[in-house]
Amino acid sequence: MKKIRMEDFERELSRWGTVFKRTEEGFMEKDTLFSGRSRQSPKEFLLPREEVLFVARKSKDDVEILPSKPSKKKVVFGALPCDMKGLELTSKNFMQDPQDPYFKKRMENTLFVSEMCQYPSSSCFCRTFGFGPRAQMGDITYFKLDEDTVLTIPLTDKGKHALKWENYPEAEPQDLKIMENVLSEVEKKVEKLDLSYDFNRQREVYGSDVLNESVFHCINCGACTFVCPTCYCFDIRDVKRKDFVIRERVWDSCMYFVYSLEASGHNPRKERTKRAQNRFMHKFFYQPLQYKEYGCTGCGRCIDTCPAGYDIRQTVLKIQSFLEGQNG
Amino acid sequence: MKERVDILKCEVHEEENPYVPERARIIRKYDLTNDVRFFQVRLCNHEKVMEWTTKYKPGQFMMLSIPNVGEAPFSITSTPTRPGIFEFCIRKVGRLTGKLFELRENDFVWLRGPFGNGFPVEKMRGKDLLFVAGGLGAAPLRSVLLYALDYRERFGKIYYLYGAKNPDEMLFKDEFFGMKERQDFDCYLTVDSDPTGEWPYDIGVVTTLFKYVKDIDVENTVAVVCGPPVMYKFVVQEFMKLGIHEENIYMTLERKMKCGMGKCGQCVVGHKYTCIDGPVFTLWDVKTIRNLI
Repeated sequence: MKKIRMEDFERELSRWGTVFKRTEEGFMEKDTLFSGRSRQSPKEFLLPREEVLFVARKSKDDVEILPSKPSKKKVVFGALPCDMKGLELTSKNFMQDPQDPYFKKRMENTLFVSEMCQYPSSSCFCRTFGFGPRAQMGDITYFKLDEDTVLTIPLTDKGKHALKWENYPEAEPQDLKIMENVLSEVEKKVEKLDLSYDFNRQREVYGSDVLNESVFHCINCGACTFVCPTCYCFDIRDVKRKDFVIRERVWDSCMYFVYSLEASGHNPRKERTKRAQNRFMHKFFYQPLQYKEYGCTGCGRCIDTCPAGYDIRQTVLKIQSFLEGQNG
Repeated sequence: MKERVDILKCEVHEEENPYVPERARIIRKYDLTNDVRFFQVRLCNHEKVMEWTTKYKPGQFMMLSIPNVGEAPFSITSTPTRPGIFEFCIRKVGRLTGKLFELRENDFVWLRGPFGNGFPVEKMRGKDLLFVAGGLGAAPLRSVLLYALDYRERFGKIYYLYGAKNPDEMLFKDEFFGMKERQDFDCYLTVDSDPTGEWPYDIGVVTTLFKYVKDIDVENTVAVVCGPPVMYKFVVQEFMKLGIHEENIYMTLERKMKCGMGKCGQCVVGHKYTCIDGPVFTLWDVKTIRNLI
């Protein structure tokens, strides 16, 4: 690992692209780095709230279609392990065949610089999912030794080429020791749920009284789906401008009645709790069945954001003991 | 104005982009019932016409759109054995379909696709086929039925049972009446009620037509059903009575879809996406995935 002054680190990175730092709200062009988890995950760098797919322009009796291509280079600075894990899970959906050209282009144009986490909160439970505060993810990862110094290491070729690594000194043994001590202290503060249920038993869970009761107080506001680093559902809509039309995709939420409403009037998830159940099932049963990995990163954003005080940890634990009870 | 410049200045994707539709021309249209219209369209890019219209499978769907109005999935009702065109049966239910009904011949629509798994036509080879359609369900089934008839020698016995609410609601009436004359397969039509008094065939729900299904080799039969959700339960019961295996019973289902490629999450049912794992599912799938019907 290299020891670099924060100032030099940032300056070098800004040569690669515009630097977006972790702030309380989200990732923005600001001077200071927020000490804590941001309210919004960096998923919008790969899947923006609104992305223009193409512009349709009328000319005489013809209509021209111009697909857009995101081309600005950006550096996401200070993404925490849970953020990076979220992007990794989202990529699975977009990068499997057929690859999503917009998502792919954004991946190429974004440099992810992750920070080993020193900001555990009461809602954190990332260690449940096989990684933790010390996970090294993204193109470059760093540990904030103090306000002015970082210990850092490149993880991908993109990361290796972003900085002139040979110009910086190696970290000293005592620095690494500090890092080790800090990270193990942080780790102790992060909750680890012991999950060991069988995903294939999804049929027993969806629609069960125990799940229904557990999500009953969900008011379907959709806040959790927007802050969630692994929620990726989108809608496609056409927007009229003066003399052309934009087809864009926008974030959508499975919590809304109109999400699954068909033109015929049929709605497969018309009940409020069915939609809340579906989101839970997707994270904890369906995605594991699909990708052999949980669809949750344990960042705790949904727990902090929920206006109804819903805690997804309680639900998954209840479901686990429900399934165990069914066994006995 | 500034916004416009910004958007048009953005780089343009040159590689193949599955979100970008191809322009097509409506070459023929006529009403099938008072709210269902038949559309025949042909791609404007002549180089792509044959490639697109021969490589799809019966049961697949296309995303059809009009810029500024929207985009929606429609099952293809034509068969790749009769290439050059795509055909759709469209019921007027919403904003996009309302706009489509205003279009005239020679107007443009935009197409992406084909998407979905389609019917397992290779697996159906050598088998007896039993098709059961209800109402608008005849649209996707017509594709696989015509396919099977165009390759008649590849299949065993073929039964086509179709039920509609009343004679006016029956799609492709002339075509199906003509099929009843054919000797090489059995076509039975029924209506729930006949206010006209002129209906020449059966009256009653579609399951009453099962009395005509005789001498099929149930071990080697593929059954396909498509229609309104309420119909599935009763038709499946009849299939089970005949002794057809769960994995040989196919049904096409639909969900609201946006991307068609398993990205947007809109059509997710359990751990399956209707747009890539469907829209054709087996009864076995339906029984193992909650909420599919």
